[in-house]
Order: sequence, then C-alpha cells, then structure tokens
Amino acid sequence: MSSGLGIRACLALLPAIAAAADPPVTAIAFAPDGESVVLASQAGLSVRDWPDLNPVRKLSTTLVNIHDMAFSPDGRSLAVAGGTPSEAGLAQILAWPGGVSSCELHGHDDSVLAVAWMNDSAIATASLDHKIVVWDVITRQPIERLKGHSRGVSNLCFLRDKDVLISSGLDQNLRVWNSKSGKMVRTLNNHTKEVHELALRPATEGLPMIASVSNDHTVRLWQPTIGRMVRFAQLSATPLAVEWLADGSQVAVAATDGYVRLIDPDTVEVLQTIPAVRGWAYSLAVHRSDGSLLVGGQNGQLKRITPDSSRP
Amino acid sequence: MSAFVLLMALLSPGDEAANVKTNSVDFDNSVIPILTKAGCNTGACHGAAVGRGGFRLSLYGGDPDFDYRSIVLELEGRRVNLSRPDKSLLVLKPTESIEHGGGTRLEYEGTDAVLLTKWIAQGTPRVQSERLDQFHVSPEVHVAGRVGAELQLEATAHFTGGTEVNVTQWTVFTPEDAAALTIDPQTATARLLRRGRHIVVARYLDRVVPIEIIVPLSDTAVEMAGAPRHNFIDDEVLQLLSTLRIPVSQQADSLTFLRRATLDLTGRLPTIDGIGEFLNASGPQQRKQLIDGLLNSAEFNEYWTLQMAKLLRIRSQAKDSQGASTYHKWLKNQIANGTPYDEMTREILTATGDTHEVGPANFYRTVGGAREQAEFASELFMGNRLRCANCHNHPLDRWTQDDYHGLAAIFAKLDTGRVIKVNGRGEVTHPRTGAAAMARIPGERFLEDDCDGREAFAAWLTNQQNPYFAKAFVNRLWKSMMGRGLVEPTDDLRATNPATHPALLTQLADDFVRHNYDLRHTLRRIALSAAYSRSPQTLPGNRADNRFYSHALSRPLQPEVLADALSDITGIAAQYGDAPSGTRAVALFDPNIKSDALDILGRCRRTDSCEADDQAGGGLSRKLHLFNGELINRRNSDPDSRLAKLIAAGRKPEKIVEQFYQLALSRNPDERERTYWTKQVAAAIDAEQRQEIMEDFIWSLLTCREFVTNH
Repeated sequence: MSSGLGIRACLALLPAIAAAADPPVTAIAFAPDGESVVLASQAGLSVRDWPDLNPVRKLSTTLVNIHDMAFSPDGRSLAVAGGTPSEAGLAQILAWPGGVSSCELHGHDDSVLAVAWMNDSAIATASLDHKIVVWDVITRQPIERLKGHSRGVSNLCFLRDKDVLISSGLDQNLRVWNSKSGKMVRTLNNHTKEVHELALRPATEGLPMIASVSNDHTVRLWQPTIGRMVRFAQLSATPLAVEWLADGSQVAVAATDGYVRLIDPDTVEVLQTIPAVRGWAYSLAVHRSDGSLLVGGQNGQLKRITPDSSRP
Repeated sequence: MSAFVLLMALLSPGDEAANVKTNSVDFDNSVIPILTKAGCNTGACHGAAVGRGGFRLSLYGGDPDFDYRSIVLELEGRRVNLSRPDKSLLVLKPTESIEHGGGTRLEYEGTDAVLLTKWIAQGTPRVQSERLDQFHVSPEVHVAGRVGAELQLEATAHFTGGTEVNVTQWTVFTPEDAAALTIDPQTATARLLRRGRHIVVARYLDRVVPIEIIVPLSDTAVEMAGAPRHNFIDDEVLQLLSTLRIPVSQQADSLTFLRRATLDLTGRLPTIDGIGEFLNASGPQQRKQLIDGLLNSAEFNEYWTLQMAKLLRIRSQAKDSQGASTYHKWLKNQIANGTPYDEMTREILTATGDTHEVGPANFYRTVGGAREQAEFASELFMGNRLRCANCHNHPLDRWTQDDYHGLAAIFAKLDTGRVIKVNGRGEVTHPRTGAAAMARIPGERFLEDDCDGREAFAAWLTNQQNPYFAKAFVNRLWKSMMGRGLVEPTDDLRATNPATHPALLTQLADDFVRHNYDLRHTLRRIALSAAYSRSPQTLPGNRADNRFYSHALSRPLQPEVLADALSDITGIAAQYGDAPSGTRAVALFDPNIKSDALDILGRCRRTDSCEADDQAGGGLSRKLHLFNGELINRRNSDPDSRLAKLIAAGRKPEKIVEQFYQLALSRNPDERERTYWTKQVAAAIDAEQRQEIMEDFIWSLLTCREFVTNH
C-alpha cells in the first residue's frame, strides 16, 4: 500500500492535473452574425471562426460544467448555463461580442441543463433540481418559479408568442406552461424514458410544432398548444440532441452512435444517416444561413455537416 | 517530475489492480471493485432498480457497460470532470467532500479515491486488458478454536493473461449472520462472536464465493467412534458433528422408527396389524424389510404421486379439471412403474399435444407466460432462482439476464392453450436491449433461432454431468425424509448458499445418477442410514441443533396426511367435493377441491411453490380450529365413529385407550398415561359421562404434539 503521506502529497497536486482526454462538447451556439461559433465544455468557452473552425479566443466563465448556451433575440447577450454538479446551478450572461460577464443568476441547487430567452431582458433556466426559473436579467431577480417536474428538467423552449413555455424532463414528460402566470397548462406523457431535448420548428403555417428526443429511442413531434402528439420516429440509437433545419423541412438528431439523422417530419422517415463523431454526439446546432450542421461529441470532437440537398 | 507522474509513481507499488502492462487504470477490474467495496452499487444505494439521487449503477457492478455509460457519458459527462479530475462528482460524493446521502464511502486521502481520480485524469479510458478467470479466497473452510478468535481473510484474482493479483482490499466480505462474526472492511480480519457454522460471502467483480467458518459448539471433543454408521451418509453427517462437537442422540426405538418411516414413505400411520408384524420381524433385517415393503406398496405410489404433484403444481385450470386429472394419472403411472426421474423430466419438458390426453403437456399450463415458465422450470428442475436475473444479473449467482430471458425465449415459442404446440413465432423482449431475446441454455450457449429449444434444454438438464438437476432433486428427497434440506430453501441452490454438508449432497446426487435416477433407491438409501434412525430425544449438547442431524427433527404432518389420519383414527371419513366417499386426501388430484378439513389444516393450492407451506406447520388459526372446531369434535361424537362402535361392542375403556394410542401414536400408553386415563374413566358416574371422558381422551390424543408431528 502507498503511504498516507505520499497520497496526501498527490492529492494536493491533483487539481493541477488535466485529463488525458478532452472533455465532450456539450453546447454549441452560432453567433448572431453567423461568422463564428461558441463551443462549451468542461474546459470552458471557446470561440471559433466559421466555417473553418479555427480557434479565435476563449471566454471567461465561472461555470464548472456548461450544459447550454443561447443568444438573446437582439444578439447582444449570450446566456451560458451550467453549474457545479450537485451543488449549485446558475446562468451567466455575457455581453456579445465582448464576452464580459454582465451578471450571474444564482438560484438553483443543481446544474442548469438548459437556458432559453423569453425576450431581451428575461430568460428561463431549467435545472436538475427539478425546477424552472424565469429571470429578469436586468434586476437579476426571479420572476417565476415553475414547479411540476418530478425529476431534473432537461430542456426548454418558448413558443413564438412567448407566453407559452415547453419543458422536457427526466421524468419522461413534457410540460406546457403559461410563463406569465407560472401555471402548468398540460403534461405530454407519451415518452417512456427520460427526455433529453426539445426544438421548436421554425415558423411554418399552422399550429406550433416541437420535436423531442428521449432515451426511449424516439423522436416525437408534438403540437403542444393542443396537447397532441402528432407522430414519432423510432431510432436504432438513443437520440441526445435535436434541431430543425433552418427552413423547418427536416429534423436533425444527434445520437449515442455518433451519427446525425435527418428526419422528414411529415412521414417520420429517416432521410439521411450521416456519420459525425466517434462515440456519443451530445450537441448540435444549425447555421441559419448556410444550412450547415455542427455536431459536438466525446473527446472534444467537432464535425461540420452539410446535408445533401440533392436528397429529399 | 510532474504531479501526474509523481502520483503514478506513488501509486504503483500498491496499485496492483491497475493494468500493470499499460499503467492505465482498468475500469472493469479496478474502478468497479472500488464502487462495490464502498457499497455504492448495492440494492440500497445506486444499484437499486431506479438508482438513487438520479444516479444508477448496475447491481454489484454486474454490467460494466451500463456503469461506464452512467458514470462517464450520461448527462453530458457531468459525473466526471476531465478538466479538473479532483472536482468530479465521482470523487467528491463518496468522499463526502460535498453533501452525499450515502455518507462517507471513501477516504479522501485513501488509495481508492486516488485511483478513481487517476482514472479520470487518464481520460476515463474503458480499458479491460484482462478478464477475470478465477477468484479464490483463503481460507475456504476454517475451524476456529474459540469464540473471540480472529481470522485473516484473503482474496486472489487470476486473470486470463496470467496475472495473479491479491484483491483482498477490493473484495467485499459479507457474513451471512452479522451477529455471528464481524469483518473489518479495511483489513479483512474476521472476529468470531458466536459458536456454530457461519458463512461469509466474498464478492469481487461478478464472482461470489462462500467461506465456511466453524466455531465448535463445545470446548470438549465428542466421541463418535461408537456412533452407528450404515452408509456414506453417516460418514459425512458424523464428520461434521465431530467437527462441531455436537453429540448424537441414540437410535430411535423400533416403534418410533416404524411410525416415522411409514409416514415418510406412505403418508399413513402404521396400522395395528402393521405394528404387530413389524415387532414380530425383529432382527437385523427388520428395518430393511420394512423399508422395502413400504417402497413397494400401493400406498407409496399414492403418497409420492402427491409429493411430486405438489412440486409440479398440478391443479385444475379455470373450468377445466380434465387436464389436471390426466396429468395426475400419468404421474401416478410413472411413480408406480419406477420411471427414472430424468426420463420423466424429458417427457414433461418436450411434451406437446392435447392436455386432456397427454398428461405431461399440462406442465405448460401450470404458469402463465414464458418468463414465469422459465422461473418455474429453473426452480423445479435446477433448484435455482433464475427469476433474480429478470431485471439484473443475479447478484449472488452466475445467472445473467441473457440466461433468464434466453430460457424464457425457449418457452415463448409454444402455444399454451388446451393443445400445447410449437408455433415458432413467440419471443420475449430482452429488457436491456429492447430486442427479442435469443434462446439460450442457462449459463451455457445460445441456440439456433429456428429450433424447438426444449429438446436441447431437456438434454442438457438431464445429462449426467449437469451440476443442478440431480442435486436439486435429492435435496428435496432429503428434506422430505429428514425434515430439512441440505440446502435451504430447496429452490435456491447456489455457491453462496452452500449445503450444510456439500460432500454429502454431491454423493447423494452421484449415487442417484449411478442408480438410474431411481427415486426409490435414494429414499431407501436415506431411510437406512443411522442418521435417519436417530431418536428425536435430545441431549444437553445437541438441543439447539436444527440442521446437523444429531437428533431427529420433528415435523408437522402435511395437511393431506393429517386429514387422512384423522379419518382413519376416528373412523369417520372426510368428504372431498364430489369425489367418491372414502377418497383419501393424498389421492386427490385437485388441491382446490371443496374441503373444510383441508381448509382448516392449511392446504397448499399449488398456484405457487408448496415448499414454504411444508415448513410452516400451520399457524395459530389452524391450531385453534383443530383444538376447538368441529373437525375433531363432530367426528368424535358421531354415532358411527370408531369410539361409538367400540363402546357399543362393550370394549373396556382401558382397551379402547390402548387401541387409540396404537392407532395415533404407534405405541401403547405408558404407565403414567394408562393410570391417568383409568382414573378418569373410573370417576365417571354413568355411561354418558364415561363416553364424554372417552371423547375428551381422543380429543387430547388427536391434538397433542406427538400426534400432529412426524418425529
């Protein structure tokens, strides 16, 4: 056995040690001008140029783990969400493009897994502590605390009228909230395992539609305002991240097999299965003007994908 | 020197479980044992089916793939921090550097926490350079000199690459009875607190092995030289008794032996004529002749058909009693014809056809569903609880989810309506993969998808080398004769629930196989042992013994046997549903037939295993009914009863007392009993009061412990 003194010495030195592998890329956000992209991992925040992905700079953050990022509607702020696992969850607002921290929103007991902007001065955060908090980022005060999920809340999105908030949870449910009153409107409970992410379909005619992905290997399409699950696709791997292509014509899903699948929302047919990273693909973002996808995965992997437009 | 290199250098001397070739920490062989040793993956903690605190691990690390996903990949890798390894939840929680519901499981400065941190610093590699080949503990068996003694336990892992590692530090040693001994988890030193035979289960990775520790029950050696030895059974039983220093009781007297053997082999009490014949046949062959006569009797066939019917859970289905009747008749023929048990089993397992015509095909109507069928078949024919491997790999045995769902997949291909036939389509979903499970011989091999796997399963099961089949059956025969299985419960044979006499169980099984799986042979072997012939009278040194066979164990009569005995003694037969008058309870094929007597006596309805019921001996309700209800009293006062007829025939009270003693207890009243009842009868003022006293006498006889037990 090693001596206690030796081990003590080692532990004192351990904080300086970084792992032999890069941490996974857990969140991706394209800058409002589309010229750069922000990447998040346990290593912090880094900005790369687009489309070459060359490192540009690092952004300073107090978060130990980062799980989500979102630019404000006016493009002047970047909300970064995460926390210290099992201890505290917070969102940090950084001025864009400067990167200076303008405020930190503390109030969760565990990591914040998702953040979404309600408008330029309000955000919602979803945490593993089972709660959703709507914040006024000017006053840094909570506006509403939404309680209803029985396990961690994994993702959030606002519908276009901004009064309706949809959340997904590890309790297998999606919940529809009135963000002004803080009241839960309904629960969508067709998933049979933990739900990881949600994505709102870009503006199309008709009722708003969202896509959700779950450990039950399904991608489900919903009309949340009427509480209807429209249809679902069953996949051979567990989907972890979901986005809509910019025109809303297809759903892109990143999964544990490292592939990205493009799915027709009308037929739920998988149109393309594209290799992206080795291992789990955690994060996914769609460039709003050039139509490319950026996928982040284990060991800091990044992959730019241009969907084959010749295929349906 | 960098901190990491320094850390590695410091760890290396004691870091034996790390991969010595690559110096990468081996997740499967090093990380998981740390979590197991710390108790993180127990059923009470993160090994629970739903996990704990949102973090789930496989039970006792039985599924390393799952654990790796949970620890490294889930929730975007939040449980390990690759940038700041020491800030990883995996380290902070068990060292209680942050709040942890499970308290402190690892010392912050201990080697385990450092090893976990080192693994994270290496980038959480999924390395398993070698697979565990064998796991040994030392000692395997130990006889301690005294209470208070200490014993150092050691564990060694042998890996497929030839590496031999002392894994004592990462082995979990769990005493079966925490009050009997304690084990220091840091040093693996056992301290013995109580006399007796104690089992400690040692767990490393997916292996569990038992350690047997004995502290003799006395400080004085006992003399076994004079104890009778009739066959190998006695050698094994006496050897352990000698080790434990438990003295043996005398051999039972002839009439006690007669009653015991007759009840065990025929489910009946000896008749008065039978008692006379037995006593007349005194001599060295007396007991052998008795046993042979009983084994070859029609009563044996009837009673052992009941015993087997209980094991097979033969019972009527809803609105269909024909199948059970056909099954029962088939079984009775097998018993009467002396069909070997392996042959009988093959016929049961591979049966197809109309259950109204093909008796053994009813096996597939006994329980509903392929999984239930797998559980039933494994418990019945293998004495193994495969059911534990439904949701997770069996924590205390070798069975995996592949084994459980694979065996179920064999049975899933059957239509189990009135006609049993192979449909070839059925399947069961493997809960881990979500896909159809592949048919599999448990612990052995997967089967081709398009075959009827029952043939292969039956062939494997009844192969002479099968390690479960014969042992499971002889253990049940032993329990039936001796009152306790060599392994208890009898459907839970596994390495971590070892037999009290492992060598004896093996010898009995080998002997059974050598003698063509002959039920009668093994029963005869047991019945003719000196251990079986022991007196139930205890000695000061063996009074507490209930498992080492130093004296005969007293057992409650089975409900059917007791019901028949009451009918025989009182002379008033019980009525069972619409069965012909005079039908004996042991001959009924349907356990659900209408019968107040069997309800009161606590029958098993065979919807589940009856083996627990046999041990129970009835509860308070049964005893109150027996003592105060009409079951005895109504028949006692019946004008057609044996008592009424004897009185009417002018038989003297003392002769009536003698006859009932012989019928119920297979003996004459002793002087004290005779005197007591003579005085009671003499005090009667008239015939009516005399009859009441005689009825009281019979009531007391039929409710006494000596009557309602086999001893």
